[in-house]
Amino acid sequence: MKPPLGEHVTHILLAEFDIDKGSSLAHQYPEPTGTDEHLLAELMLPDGAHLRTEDWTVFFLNQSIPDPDKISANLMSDRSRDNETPLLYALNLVRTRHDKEARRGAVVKAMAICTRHQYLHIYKPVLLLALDNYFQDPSVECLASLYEAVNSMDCKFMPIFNAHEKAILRASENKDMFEEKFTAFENNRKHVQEGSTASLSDQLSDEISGKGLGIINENSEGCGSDYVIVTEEEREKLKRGTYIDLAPNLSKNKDRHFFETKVVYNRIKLPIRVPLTVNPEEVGDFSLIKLITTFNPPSPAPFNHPFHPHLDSSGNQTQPIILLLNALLTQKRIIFLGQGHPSGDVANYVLSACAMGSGSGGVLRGFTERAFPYTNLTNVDDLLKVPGFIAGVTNRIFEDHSSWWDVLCNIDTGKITVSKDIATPSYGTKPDEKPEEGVRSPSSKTESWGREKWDTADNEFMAEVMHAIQHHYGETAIRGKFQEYVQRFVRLTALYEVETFGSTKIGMMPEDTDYPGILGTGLAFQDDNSKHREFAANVNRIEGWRQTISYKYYQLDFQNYLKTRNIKSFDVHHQVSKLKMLKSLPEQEVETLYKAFIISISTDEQIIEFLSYLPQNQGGLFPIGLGLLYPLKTVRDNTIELFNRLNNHATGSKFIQSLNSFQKLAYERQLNQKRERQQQLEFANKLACSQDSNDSNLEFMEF
Amino acid sequence: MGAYVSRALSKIFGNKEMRILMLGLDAAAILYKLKLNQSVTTIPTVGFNVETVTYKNVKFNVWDVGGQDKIRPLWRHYYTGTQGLIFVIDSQDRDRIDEARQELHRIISDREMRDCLLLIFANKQDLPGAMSPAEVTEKLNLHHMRDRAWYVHPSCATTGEGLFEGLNWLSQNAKASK
Repeated sequence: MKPPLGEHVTHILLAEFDIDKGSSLAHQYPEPTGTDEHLLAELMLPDGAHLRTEDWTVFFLNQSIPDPDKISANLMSDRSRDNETPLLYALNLVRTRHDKEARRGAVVKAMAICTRHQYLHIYKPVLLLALDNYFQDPSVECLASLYEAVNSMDCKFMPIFNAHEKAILRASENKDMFEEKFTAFENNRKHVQEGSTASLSDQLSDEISGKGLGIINENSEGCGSDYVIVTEEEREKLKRGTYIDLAPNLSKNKDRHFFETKVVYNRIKLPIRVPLTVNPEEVGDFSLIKLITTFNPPSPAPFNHPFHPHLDSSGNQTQPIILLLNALLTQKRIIFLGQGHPSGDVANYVLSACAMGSGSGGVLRGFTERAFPYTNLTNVDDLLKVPGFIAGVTNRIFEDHSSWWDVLCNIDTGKITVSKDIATPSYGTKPDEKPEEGVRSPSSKTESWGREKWDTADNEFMAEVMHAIQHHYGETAIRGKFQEYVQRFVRLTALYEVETFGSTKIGMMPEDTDYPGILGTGLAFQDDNSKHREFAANVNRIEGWRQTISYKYYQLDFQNYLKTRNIKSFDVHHQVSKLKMLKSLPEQEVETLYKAFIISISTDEQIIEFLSYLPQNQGGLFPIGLGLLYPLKTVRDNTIELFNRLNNHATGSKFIQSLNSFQKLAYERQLNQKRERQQQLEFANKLACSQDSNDSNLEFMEF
Repeated sequence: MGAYVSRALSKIFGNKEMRILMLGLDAAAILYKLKLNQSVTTIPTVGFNVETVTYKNVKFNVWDVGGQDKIRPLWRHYYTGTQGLIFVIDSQDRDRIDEARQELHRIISDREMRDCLLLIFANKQDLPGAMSPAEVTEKLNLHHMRDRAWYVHPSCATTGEGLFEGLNWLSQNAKASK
């Protein structure tokens, strides 16, 4: 039996440039990766490596050519394959050392770390040290000691977040959002280390349950009768005698979006920050902002290639970034070219593009498995077998071979070119399948450019993105926008399928909920007009996307989500967006909705799932809070009840904390009223017990 | 539109662009001698070098592609659009001239290379015992090559001797062929 691959790092590779033989692989540790040695050497020693002192590259191993027809059938076998030869991410450093002693004056060597982790950039410092060591002492022991060092990185206490928790964390700037998940671990570790008793940790688990964060309701079962503001003093009292007092509170300023650990290499301690909010299709530390600013010219020149229905969603006025996004969604072959650039440059563009197309890695998948962050002519035959590859190259010969690609992005000029050889889809049969009006049928090649009015929603979106970038919004904010954009596109496709074919596998159908007639599902629109406008603008790329691998994956993923979701009785996204957009919902609907909240949101998983649809950077609980001021008393009561539940939840309470002050006041005031009423009720009951029945009747009538 | 204008202008003023593929040992040294007009000790090329050299109003885009056995199959990707092939021969290395002949004939028999000019630098003329251009011509079996313009020129990469004469021949023959 083969020994298991390393937990963090599976292989360390070393390649050298040999003047006579060319790029050659010198070592693979602890065992061969299974990839062709010549190809590995070529990838590790990128074109032009001799021109610069160092170059960081990324490439992937164990990529299989996805077969769109077999995606559904082979899901299970796919998984078993993944365990034996998982998709590996390789971080590579190549250095050129000028050396008078050496033949022809220079030595070129490269070392690569192959890992299952998408956050492979954490290994940069250690790889730098290790390659230096190898230059001094070129032996396989050098690889062995690195392998051991990186695999002894301690991640035992690293919390693993699910998709909903990640969504909440990404949208929050709150550094201590999931503090409790860390402190539980950290204290645990301290206990283990110091052999403390279990009773202490029990005490502690109360301490960290999210209470004592300002607002607490001790009586969570009732209607929140005891509403207290905990003072600092009281909190101190609570803490006294517990373990926390004894240790300095180091966790105070830690950013809980990261897990802090270390790698000890050659007795050097290298601190490592593992990002915890990485989405499945986000690899490395790329910058989406850089991708956008490179290809979004201040005054875009109209495109002059022949109209392509998948790409030119706003005709020849299509924004370059939208064209690129369309190309990604409809699985075109895309090349990023950076002639004379370090290979690491083009790699970052490719990784950014993967993230953009997949909705910041969180909506669609199947992009990274088709990505070649850096590749060159050695690999071109295999590259061309991959449908819709996304590749980075530094050799401009690729530009001349326009039959190899559909869209070429030149990182020097910031220009995006559509190949003259690109295949244009034919919609010969499609329009027949569609009912009624012609607006919705995919436009044919000829009608195209002349169309006068193009939907401007995309241009508005890009203007918004550029505005955010110019105002120094961070990478997460921009990624959030693209995630939302792609998510919306997917929901729009689902609605399109329902309207065109009667059903969909990628969106919630009314029968997937408990209130099919009243609460509705899917994408919500202001009115029918805007719906039809959006359909008309998107129908071509929708049809394009429906033929792709990522669409097939999404079908599977969505069906899986339907089975595993924790809130089964209604479509949370639909309800939230309705509350946000539609001002006058029918009373009955609102009443049903808030009742549904109370019925289906109570467990920890349900609360987390619910909150993940209310990102804090988009107002958090605000749309739900509208219920606090709704004319119907039942709705107000249910809102209070829901908020009480949230407030008793470690994460929910942070959402309550960040309510806007207007809603917070409304919540507090109504809580107070309730408490008073409760007290009166209790008082009345007491009276009823002690006094005779007549009096108590009187009291009740008064009440 | 702009492209048409510049093309028309270049016809008038004779500004031409030529894409050149340069193969063989020491090609990098020749390339940088042409480009910088100074002898640079070239460190080994990983992948390829590409430089633009302007000589007598002709812009030469010269691609120097590595020649190790394993990557020779990649040469074919550079053929499309190539107007001139510069093949560099180590005139001192009699042992490998046969191999060079085979390789050369394999390249120029490619369909994409049928209209391409062939310039051969009989390099390292400064070294004792170097083959003369006539000897190189014979060893490479060039006399049997009828339907192609070819030219063998003696050169020395370290001093730069003969290099520009070679380019001159390329530019003149490119003109004639148009």
